[in-house]
Amino acid sequence: MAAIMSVETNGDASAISLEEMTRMRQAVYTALLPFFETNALLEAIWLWEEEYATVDDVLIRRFVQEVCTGEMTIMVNSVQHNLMAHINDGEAPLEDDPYRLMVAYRAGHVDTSSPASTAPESPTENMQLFQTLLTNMNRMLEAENRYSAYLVRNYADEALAEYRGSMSISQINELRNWMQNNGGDLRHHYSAKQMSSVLHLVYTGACAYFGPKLANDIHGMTIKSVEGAGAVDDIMAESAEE
Amino acid sequence: MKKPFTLIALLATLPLSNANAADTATLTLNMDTVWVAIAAALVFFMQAGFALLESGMSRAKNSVNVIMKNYVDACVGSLVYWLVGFGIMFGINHSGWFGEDHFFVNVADDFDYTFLMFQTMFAATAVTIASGAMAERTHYRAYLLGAVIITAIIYPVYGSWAWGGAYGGSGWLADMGFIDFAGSTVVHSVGGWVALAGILVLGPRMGRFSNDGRAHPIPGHNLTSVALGGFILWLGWFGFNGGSTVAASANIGLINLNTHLSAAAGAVGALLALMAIRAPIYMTTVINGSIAGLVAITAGAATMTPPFAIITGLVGGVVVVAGERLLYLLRLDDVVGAVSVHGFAGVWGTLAAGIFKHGDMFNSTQILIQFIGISAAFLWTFPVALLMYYLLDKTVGLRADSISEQRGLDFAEHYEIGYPEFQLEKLHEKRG
Repeated sequence: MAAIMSVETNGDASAISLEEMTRMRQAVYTALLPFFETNALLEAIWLWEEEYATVDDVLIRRFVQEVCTGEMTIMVNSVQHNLMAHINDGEAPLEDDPYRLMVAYRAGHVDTSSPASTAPESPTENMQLFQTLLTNMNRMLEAENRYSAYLVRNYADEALAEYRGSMSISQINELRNWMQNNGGDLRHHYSAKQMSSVLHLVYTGACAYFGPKLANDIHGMTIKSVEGAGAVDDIMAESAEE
Repeated sequence: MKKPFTLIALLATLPLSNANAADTATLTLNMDTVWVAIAAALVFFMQAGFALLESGMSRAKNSVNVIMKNYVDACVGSLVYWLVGFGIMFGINHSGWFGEDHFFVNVADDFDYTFLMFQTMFAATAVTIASGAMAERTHYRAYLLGAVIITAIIYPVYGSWAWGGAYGGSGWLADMGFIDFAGSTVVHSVGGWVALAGILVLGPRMGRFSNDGRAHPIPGHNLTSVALGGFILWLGWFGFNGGSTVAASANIGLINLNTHLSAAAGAVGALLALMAIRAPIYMTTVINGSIAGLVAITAGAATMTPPFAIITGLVGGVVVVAGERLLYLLRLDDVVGAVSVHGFAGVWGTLAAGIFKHGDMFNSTQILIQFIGISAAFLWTFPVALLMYYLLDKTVGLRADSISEQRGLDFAEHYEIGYPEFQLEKLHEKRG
């Protein structure tokens, strides 16, 4: 029903099947998910549904430019790249159809300003990665200079207080506690953008107190350590199967 | 800057038969053209020098961005200079303040094309100076818009004061007797003051000066390319200064000897200054010293004897070390030392051209005129460039945001990675 409505809206029902429409919506949703917070994401999907779903691929760039405003402008190429990859790759694993979420959002039934208002979730793969990255980065900073690492944590603690526009207070408080105590699982869900901005915050603090060279090195080593761990996990899984 | 055709006119008055005189004039014109065209190519090659030097002094994650700035500002600058800048700088100058014709040159005499080509390379040099100082944190589009304004207005207006009136009239500084043979002030100081304005509006790179007052060095990613860039600039300068005769004249030998000796002395001056303050002998500073020697001798290369060229270069090298320290104390982040090398050394070189003028040394009137020319350059260039970058910052945005700075402008601005095999930042691409 959802797909029929959207296709009719575009007045080009013959051009695209219901299944294809649903798959495309899933593809767009999956592709944009890492880049946008919930409300911006749902707005973007609606825009795509209403204006771009049946247009030629060459106009995708215009869609991406329309949704990537403000600080997202620099991500235009990344978003487009991801979007094209998901749309064109029929084999790519996709998220569930977001249409129910979209309708609820339009009806005002989704509290998008605070993703933390939902019940605490078990850590997703991304959340695990996020926690590992933060933990490893903090450890490496500690190993380099304990006092400077302490200053970086304080810097991040103060800066997080300014994040009220993009995070709920409970998320901010949880992150502040977590970073000062550096342990345990985070109970709230954080979007990829939120995680990215927190990591960037720690990097900025490291730049200020360790210098950009060391900050870059530690940041690079942190990523490498997580990649390494992932590779080890893969090997373990493979050996278990055998 | 010698006006074109002077030598041709002189030769035409030689007591030869009419036929011989015509042949000689043609031959001279051809020789002038060949030399100036080669010199223009050498000056163009300096763009490669700037690109290598500046990208080498930047971090790997910004190398593509630095190269792209150098590459494209030369392109944009050349087009704008042909369209507007050349006319403002060299068109008929009745007022003494700007030229009024020779815009978008279409049909002209043969040598006019050569002269335009040579001057276009100078404009490209002037505009590219700021790119190094402002590296690693400037939005690309805003930078290019700045380059357009520099080549359309800032550089040619001052140029018209000092060198203007090639096709009639004269600039007010030229009328006073201001000496700037190949552009210590006209090209280099102007570029240096634009760079100073740019880094003031931009602010330092993230983490360069930390919250607790410490300064963190940010080493460049490829010192080998810095050295190669230095060599290329040195080579190109033989065209820059030697070609500024705008004729295949006999004094090119002296000019290029002075150029070479001053560059060598500049490197030695910087080296001695580093030793005197018990600092490590940084390769980048020594190379900057040689470039400062080149910048400094540019004003007086044709009017000094070699010993004074050496003094000029030696002091230029010291000026660079002192200038870099001054900027450091002021917490100004000049990635490649462009303000010291082009701005401060340009000032010294222009003064030196007045102080060491062969046959009229230490003439206080000449030194005063030089000082007026230097001051005029600063008073025109710096406030206008400051306003320009301020407006660019408020409109299109001059400063890249911190996440772009973290990831590197190669990825953020161009979606390309200079060294994909080595740059871990590329992993961000996978994670969004």
